[in-house]
Amino acid sequence: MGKRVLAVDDSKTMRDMVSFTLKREGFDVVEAEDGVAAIEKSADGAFDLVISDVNMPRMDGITLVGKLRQDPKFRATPILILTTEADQAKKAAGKAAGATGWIVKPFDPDQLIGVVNRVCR
Amino acid sequence: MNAEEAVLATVEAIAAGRETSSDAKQYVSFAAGDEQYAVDIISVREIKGWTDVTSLPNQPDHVRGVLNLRGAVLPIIDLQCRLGGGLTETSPRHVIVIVAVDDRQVGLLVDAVSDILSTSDERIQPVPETSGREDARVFSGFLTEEDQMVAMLDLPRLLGSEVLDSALHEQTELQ
Amino acid sequence: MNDFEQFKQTFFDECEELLQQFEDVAGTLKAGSNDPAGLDDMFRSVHSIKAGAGAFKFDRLVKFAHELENVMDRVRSGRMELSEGDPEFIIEAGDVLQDLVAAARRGVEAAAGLEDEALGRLQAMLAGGSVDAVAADVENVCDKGGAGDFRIDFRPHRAMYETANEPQLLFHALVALGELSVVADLTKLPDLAKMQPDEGYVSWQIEVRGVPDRAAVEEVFEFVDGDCDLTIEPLSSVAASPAEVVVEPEVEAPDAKPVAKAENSGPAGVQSTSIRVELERVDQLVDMVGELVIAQAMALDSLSELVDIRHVKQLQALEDLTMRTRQLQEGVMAVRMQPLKALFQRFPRIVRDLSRKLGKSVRLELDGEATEVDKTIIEELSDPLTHMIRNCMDHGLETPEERQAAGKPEQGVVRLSAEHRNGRILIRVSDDGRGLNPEKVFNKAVENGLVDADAELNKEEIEALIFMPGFSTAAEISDVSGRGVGMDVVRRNIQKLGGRVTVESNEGEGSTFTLALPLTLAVLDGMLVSVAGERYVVPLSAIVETVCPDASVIRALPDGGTVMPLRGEAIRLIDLCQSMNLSRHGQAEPLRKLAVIVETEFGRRVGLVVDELLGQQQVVIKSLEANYRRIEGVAGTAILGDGRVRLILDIDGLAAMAGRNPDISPKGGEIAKPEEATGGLSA
Repeated sequence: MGKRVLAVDDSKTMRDMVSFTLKREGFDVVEAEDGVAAIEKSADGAFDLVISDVNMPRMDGITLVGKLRQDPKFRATPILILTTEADQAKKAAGKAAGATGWIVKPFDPDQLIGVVNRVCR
Repeated sequence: MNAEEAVLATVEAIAAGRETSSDAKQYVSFAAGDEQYAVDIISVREIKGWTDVTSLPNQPDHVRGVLNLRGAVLPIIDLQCRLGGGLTETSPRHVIVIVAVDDRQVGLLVDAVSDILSTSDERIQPVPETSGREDARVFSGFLTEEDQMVAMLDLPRLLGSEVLDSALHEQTELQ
Repeated sequence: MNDFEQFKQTFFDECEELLQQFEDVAGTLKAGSNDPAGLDDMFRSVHSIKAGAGAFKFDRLVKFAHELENVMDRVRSGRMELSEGDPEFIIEAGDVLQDLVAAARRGVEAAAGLEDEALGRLQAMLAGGSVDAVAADVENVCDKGGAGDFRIDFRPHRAMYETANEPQLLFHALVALGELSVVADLTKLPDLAKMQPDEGYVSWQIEVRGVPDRAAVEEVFEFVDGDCDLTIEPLSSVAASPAEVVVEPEVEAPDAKPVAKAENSGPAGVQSTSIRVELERVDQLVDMVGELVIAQAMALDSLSELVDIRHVKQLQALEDLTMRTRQLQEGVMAVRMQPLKALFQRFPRIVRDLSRKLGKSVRLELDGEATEVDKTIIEELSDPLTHMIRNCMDHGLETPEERQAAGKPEQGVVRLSAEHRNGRILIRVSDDGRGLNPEKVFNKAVENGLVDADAELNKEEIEALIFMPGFSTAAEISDVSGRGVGMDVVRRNIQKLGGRVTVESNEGEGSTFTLALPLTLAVLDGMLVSVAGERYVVPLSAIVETVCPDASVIRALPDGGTVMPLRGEAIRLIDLCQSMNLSRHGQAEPLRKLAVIVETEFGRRVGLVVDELLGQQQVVIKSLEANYRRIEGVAGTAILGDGRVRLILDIDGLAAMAGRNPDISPKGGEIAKPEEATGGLSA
């Protein structure tokens, strides 16, 4: 069984692309359309990696990271946030909440795989 | 050949066609009235025995009606009648050859399936300019097999007026 | 990037929703403060469009979305306030965004300079908006460094482990860059008993050789910067190449309170959870349920012969199955139903643009946006409705001067409304313009050879002439409603959906176009009737009652038709046997025929004369056009329990056939084309 990834984004396009790229690399991808849905999915079991967008309805990515980090299952799980350009504030906020790292949009499959390999066993 | 045998022969022919990589193309030939006709085996989807069709109001005589084929509704064209002959007197021995043209499926009512012909393009002769038959445009060529002329059907032309024409028009409108 | 072509469709579909969301809120914006939730939605819409556009390299779209996103971000975070005129501009900016998306979707370059004006204004808003806007992000000044060998001192803090970063993985990443040697410093490691599992006790001295550039090394430690003591020095004494200073053009200011905001949005949960499903999958489901309905009907058919009173249990089970099948079908069909809102909301923009272009002031009134219709129908309605609205504005409404002269308010009104009626949906497009002038319409039809000059037509018939092929001529095709498309095409498209369009007009007061459409294209409740040995399905929704008229009350009409009285109303009878061109083949006519009284879309009643009623049945509609063509008087086909195909009657078509004025001769319409000898494909 491949590693389990939780991909969180309110944009289906982004979810699809993240999903497609990771599946091609042998990951099992579970998708969630926002923070609330991600929390629900996280209740079902542990993940080897979480990739989350920042701007989402209902619960944003930063809040999601903070909440996941408080869950013992996710204490050691790498969590990446998807952020635009050099948004230092978002990166800092993400990190403060416990994000492992970030992926800078626009989406680039090579970058995604590169970063994932840097944080994921 | 009855319908069942024809199906088997078609399946075998298709299988054989996949194995031989020669230039030979395969055709399903059938009889309608006193004539022999053939279509490219590629366009044949299915062959089934005649069953009653549901007739359509105010349509040309050769449109015999429609039939349910696994949930799709197909028109059945009486080939003999379409080519200027009289209506076919149907019996359970008659056969419907289901062909596909441009994403559409149509059944051709014929007397019987005759054979699977295997032939190369060179052997098919063009339609003579003065064939005398006013319906000659619906043929793509002729093949002479054992003293018998087999007319190759040009399906888009044969079915164009009923089946394809209107569809093409409607698709291009309101773009 | 080719792998990602497949996501373009999703992206564009999503854009449509996002643009709609943007537009929805944009329409409510006002100068000063606005609803924060709405602003968040707008910001996110633009943000998502930008992110997707970036992945597909739609550069102009990205650039524009970026500026608009920045403005929206300021506005939503309270760092910028909309002043007078700004809300209108935001709507326009949304339009530009939409145009850029549309161009990308079609795979063409948008018109040069399309976005320039709006872009300039966005940038001006950002520059003048607030003080922090001009503060460049100095953190991004970085040293690219040079290639070579590096020595790295790396001492993780506890915080680094708390973000699930692993030194080991970093070393792996370094291995990918060059030759690596790592020495662990364990001197700080406490006794096992005192050890905190999360604490960082170990530090490393790392040497990595043959690295392409320093930035690559920094990138490896990108995520842990700040959570560790880190020094990176070139191993060789040779200084790195002169440092290049790069200032990122990013001017976005830090978001003041990201966490607090998120907390607020938590409990609201107003947005209903939804999933996106490929339409194809829903269609498969619809098809499967359709087959199930047929199978169930077949089972019922064959079992009903066997079942008697001893089999009450089986009978009940069967009834239960029937009911559940029905419920399942309704449930599946409901998945396809969508409110018309998404469609209707395109029109304010179209009307706004057009009123500017035409120099006419127009108010658009929308009503019944919540009416639900099958998604397929909604999609197919977009073009015809757009055309009709353009038509109303271009030809229907007068110029402001003309309106003034006629004593009407300068501003014209175009109304678009929808409602459910008799299991169908009625959509009306009306205007308060000049209306149709019957004389002009008639003369034009004569001119174009559609009717004889001496034909006698009533008002209704004259108005219907505008739907004839060949009625609108090239001479009047304007750049607004022309596009080479006439009302005949609108009608044909509506007919393709199993619908009908009519017009009602009063000169000087305006015109109303009415579209009547089925709610869904998949199932229908029908009454099975028989005539001369043939069976047909009559849509149940059209049936008013069934009567058994006495032959003596039936009167002949001069045009060859017949009528019967019904509660004071003369009902025209349609002899199905005749309309369907059936022959009785020696089958005796029944002694007393039945007249099924049906109502046409527009309230007219006619009686279908049949031999027998065979009972109600729900049927799955199968298009005749999928493999054949449209036939007048036939709405579609149905496959019944016995597996046979039956024709579903088109009441309005039949009424039109029966009551057709022989003076009107449609040109090349859908009525029985003359048989061209070979009818070849002209292409």
